[in-house]
Amino acid sequence: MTDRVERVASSLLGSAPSKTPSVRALSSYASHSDCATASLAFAARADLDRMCTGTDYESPIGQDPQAFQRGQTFEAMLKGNGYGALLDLLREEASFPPTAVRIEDLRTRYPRGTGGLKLRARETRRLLQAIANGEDEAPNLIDGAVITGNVAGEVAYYEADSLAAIAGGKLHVGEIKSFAYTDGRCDPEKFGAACDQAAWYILLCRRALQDMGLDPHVVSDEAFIILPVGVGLTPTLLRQNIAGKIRRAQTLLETAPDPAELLALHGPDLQFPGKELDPQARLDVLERLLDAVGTTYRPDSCLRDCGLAQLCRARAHDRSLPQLCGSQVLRNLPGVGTLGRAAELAAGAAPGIGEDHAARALRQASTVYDRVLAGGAL
Amino acid sequence: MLAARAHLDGRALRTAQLRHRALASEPFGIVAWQLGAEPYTIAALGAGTRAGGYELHVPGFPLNRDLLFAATLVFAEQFCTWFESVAAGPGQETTHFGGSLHVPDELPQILVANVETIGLLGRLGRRLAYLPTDGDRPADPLLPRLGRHLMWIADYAQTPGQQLIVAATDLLASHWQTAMSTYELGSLAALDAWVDPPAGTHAFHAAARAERFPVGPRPEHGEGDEAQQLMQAFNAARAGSVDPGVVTTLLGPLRTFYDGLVAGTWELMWLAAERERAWPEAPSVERRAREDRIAYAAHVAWMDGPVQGRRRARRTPRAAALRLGELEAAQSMCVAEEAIDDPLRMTPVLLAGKALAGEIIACEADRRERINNRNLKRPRVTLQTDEPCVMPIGKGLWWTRAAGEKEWTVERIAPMETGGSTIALVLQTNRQLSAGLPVVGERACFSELNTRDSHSLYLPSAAPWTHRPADSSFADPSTDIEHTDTENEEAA
Amino acid sequence: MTHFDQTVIDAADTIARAVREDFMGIADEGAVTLTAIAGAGKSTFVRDTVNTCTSAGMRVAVAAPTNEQVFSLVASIADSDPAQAVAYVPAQRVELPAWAQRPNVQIVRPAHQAGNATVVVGTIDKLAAARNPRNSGVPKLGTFDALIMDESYQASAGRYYAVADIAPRHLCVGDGGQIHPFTTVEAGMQWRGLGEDPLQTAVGVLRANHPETPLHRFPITRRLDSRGAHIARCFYPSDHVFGAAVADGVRQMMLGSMVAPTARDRALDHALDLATERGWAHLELPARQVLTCDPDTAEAIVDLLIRLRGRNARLVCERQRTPAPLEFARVAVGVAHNDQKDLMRALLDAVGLTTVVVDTANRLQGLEFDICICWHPLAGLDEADEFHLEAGRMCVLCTRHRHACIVVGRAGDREVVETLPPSTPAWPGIDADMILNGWDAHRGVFAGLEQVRVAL
Repeated sequence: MTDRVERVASSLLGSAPSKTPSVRALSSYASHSDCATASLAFAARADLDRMCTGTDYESPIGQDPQAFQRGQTFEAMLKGNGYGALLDLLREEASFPPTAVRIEDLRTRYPRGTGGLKLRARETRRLLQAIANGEDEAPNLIDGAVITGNVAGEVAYYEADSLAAIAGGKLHVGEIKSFAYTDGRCDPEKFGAACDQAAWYILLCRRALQDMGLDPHVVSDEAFIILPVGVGLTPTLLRQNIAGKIRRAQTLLETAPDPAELLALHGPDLQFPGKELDPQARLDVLERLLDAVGTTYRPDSCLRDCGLAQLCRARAHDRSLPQLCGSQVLRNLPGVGTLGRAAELAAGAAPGIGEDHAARALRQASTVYDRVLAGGAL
Repeated sequence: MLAARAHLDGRALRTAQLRHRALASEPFGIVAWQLGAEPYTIAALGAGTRAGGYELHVPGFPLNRDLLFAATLVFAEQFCTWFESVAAGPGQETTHFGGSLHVPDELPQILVANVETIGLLGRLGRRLAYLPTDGDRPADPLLPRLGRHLMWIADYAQTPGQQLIVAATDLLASHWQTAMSTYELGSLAALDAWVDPPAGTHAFHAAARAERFPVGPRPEHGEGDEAQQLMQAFNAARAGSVDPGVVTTLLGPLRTFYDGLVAGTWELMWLAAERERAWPEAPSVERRAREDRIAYAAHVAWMDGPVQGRRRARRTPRAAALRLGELEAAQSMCVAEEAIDDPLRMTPVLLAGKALAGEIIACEADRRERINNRNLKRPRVTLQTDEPCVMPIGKGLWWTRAAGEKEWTVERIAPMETGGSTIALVLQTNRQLSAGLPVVGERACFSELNTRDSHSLYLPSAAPWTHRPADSSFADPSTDIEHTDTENEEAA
Repeated sequence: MTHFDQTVIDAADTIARAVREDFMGIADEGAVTLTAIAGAGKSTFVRDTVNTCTSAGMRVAVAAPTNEQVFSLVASIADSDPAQAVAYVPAQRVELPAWAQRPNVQIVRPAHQAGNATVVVGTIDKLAAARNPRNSGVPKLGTFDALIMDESYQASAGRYYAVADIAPRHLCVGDGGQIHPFTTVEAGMQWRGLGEDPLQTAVGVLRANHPETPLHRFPITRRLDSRGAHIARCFYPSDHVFGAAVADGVRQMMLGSMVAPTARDRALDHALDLATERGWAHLELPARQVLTCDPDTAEAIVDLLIRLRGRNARLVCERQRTPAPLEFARVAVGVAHNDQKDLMRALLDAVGLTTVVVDTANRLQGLEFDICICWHPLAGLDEADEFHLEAGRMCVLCTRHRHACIVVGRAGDREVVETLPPSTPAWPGIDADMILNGWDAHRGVFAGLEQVRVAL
């Protein structure tokens, strides 16, 4: 980031809750990249999930302690005893060498905090270089890599939860997740999200290699997704080619709005609400910001994982927006601005410009519906 | 259109004039809670009839197999007794796959809050169904028995239009239009608020409040934190003991906690179901209920057969293909039956141009035409619709009152100045329809939908070489997933 | 003037020989698969392979998913060797149309009586029912030495199961870019990625269970010329290399002149002229979100066809070397939805264009026309869903024509796939992501049509 952008970003953030860049955050932002507020928050590193805390719009999103513990336990089990269980799995499924495996655990080696991140980023770069050059001392496994990524003009250190496993001269990104894999099946949404995260890691690694003038294709399209089988925590490794998802990540990077422009667009007065404000004051600031910046509310994706979704929903309701009903209803109301207007058109109001198609269908639906209700027949 | 009206009216609107799901006189209700991310365990189960109230089953620390199975065993006794007793009740003998089958008159119906609960019961079933009842950790035979019932029920639940297990969310969502998105329709509390909002409150606000009400089975509203604390206290107090004498007395706080959760969902679920009961039942519901009773009877017979209800955890290619055929046939039949029974259900079909409805202005019962040099009777009706019709000439349509018989084809369409059309339809048989012919002056509806038997797939029982893996290691994959449960206890 | 690109044809011949060699070399049970792009001359290949088999003394069953496909196979196989009797087993209530009847075609009813025939042809379902009758009292159709299946990417594993035991040797030919087997029941998707999935393709189940099955790729298209092949590449993996058999400039369309009094007429003319020169045109109505059955788009297509009729199009190609008038029965309008089809049919009938074929992409699979008008599946949508994005659907619509294809949509359509694709679900064992592939294919097509865009 340039100094000026950095200044605007930090003035925008003010004392609002913030979050550190991570591959996970990047991946989840990708589902909301068409929302101007989400983009701005991403640029300013504001944590939208904590913006509405204490208000009526606080969303119930948050990790369940049991779910968290299960994830921790599974990961600890894989990495315990010098990564014993994980290495066994990699030997079985990814032809890892039986002996002399070089493991680089960057997470425990360096201190927490920004200083540690920088050191880890430097070390990650060095290791990637060794892998790309096929050096003898290249590692077989990297845990806790930090990749310096330039996302939409913004340079940041992206901490990866995932592993990098080097098999057959190729670097494979490994995601450890604790949802169950039974009878050859697992939750497609969760599996898709795990693959998406791996795709971001792969993309960042490739760009890092490219920046160093090295061959980006040393990073494989094939991700390793590691899941527990059945009831317990016995791990399995699934190999999945995620080329399509990597291309998607690439598209986002290419099309993402430049945060400098985004920030410049909104004057210096704009600010995310500080966490010290009382809930009502915070909402007032937030509403002003939403009015100025604009949002894209899509219930089926926003309500899943955005902390502002409940507020956006209430605003959509107040404005009677068709978005409230989700994409299926929306598709049937092309050109119609509000649900209220849709009801008027259904009742026979004269359609305005762009409304005639939907109006005809609405009017007809309304006539038939009322005829059935009145006469009991079509 | 209805969504817009619902938004304006501040409450949900009916999408059906009838009730398209059976509601047994006394369904068996199940409310379930799980831990945050333990897909194969239950944290609490409330089960029973509405009149008798629920019995609460709480393992305490579900990650402990002994505790989980002990609580599940009590539920198994309760459930299996009820579920299996129906099969022995009065009924009729029919032939089924060549054998004789006793089909009970009563439908053993289970009511749950939402589709997720069915999923959880299915996973619990999957875990229990293959438990070894011998060896060094023998399970009570009732557990695999429960497992096999639950696994079968959860699989059968995917059949479109089935009524053996009814999720209240489905019951409401399939009969009401709200102004919510698909995602939000998963919440029973929010749906209920749309259907019956408090006086003077817009359903949107009622639903936004209601949605914070925990319904289960996943702890999504912070109840996981409290459960965790109580569980830790319980574990500390029992100090590793699984002795019922010790554990039962320590369970108090957890039982109270889950009792509160289960009671809320229990009330809500019955409220929703009983409100729907007031709507008149659609005529075709009985046919589908009979299918359900036959399927149930066949399942119970299989349970009592030589393999005691054991099924593969994964279907063979043949079984999967046949099941897909069944699902598709059930879906098209259910869609057709609902629309044919209920004009409000036919409305979207009509609006999509797949049906036409209007007043019969002429009926030529004795009309004849030459077909293959024979002069055959082919009755023709002419009707006037209010809406314009753009169907292609020659299209086949079924009269809603004879949707299981021969079709009519569109012979002629003439637009009218009023915006509607005059349409002539010719019946494709000389045989009398069971409902006679449409009467001049009455309104009639003809649609693409019919209730004739669809072509069903027939597959030889031996798999051809193409569908058998060359590497036959995947013959019957390991079915007991319990052996994978090695780390949980220590980890927790 | 040479009419063909000999290198492309030679390359295709080499592959054809290799496939036949592999196929004839199957000792016990086994299969060979051949993936081809649209209009690769699969039917010719099937016909020739049938002859190879019969010459070697083998008895052959030939199958395809639909009746129409089977009619073409029957005619083509019967023509190739008038001395060879071809047994056709029709499905119930299906008659072999007059155009497919030949003296050496025997219609066999009931089907099991075809048991002694050297060559039997039928739909997959019909041959399956004859081979494995539901009613045990009905005699079974015997086995053959080989099964040759056309359009095997359209055949689901479930249907394939029923016919697979008809022969120990299988040759599965098909086009992997078209619409794959699908179901409208959500629960029908539960087997995705598993070996038992009845909705995977016949080729898919073969490859899953017998990974050593040879997979050949046909490097040719005979229907499309190089202009058409250029866009068709958007729908196939980049390592599936193919070229057009017909040489550049052989396919020619000539349009007469006609007064164009209005701007609309001029725009339509411009689109027709581009289609004539480049083989493609992309006619765009103003950006607007509309319902799928958009009357304006339908009207634009009708006007375009009226204009085409008015300009007396004449065609020249490798088969017809002197200009001959375009027959409207050789013109298709391809759509995504049935309501669009009904509307188009009504409008075209009203202006006397009754012979123009109108159908949904599903039903146009395997058919060939001189001109195809494609109602863009994304036309007027504000958000793309899986159905409309499916690469296979667009592939069918963009690969039916020998001379020209005119895509009709709205100006905003491109933006739908220019935004970021959604995060998509994934299934272990399935590497291809249908939604993202659709996204990429549509982008590629829009980019490929960049130069031939006309605003209406």
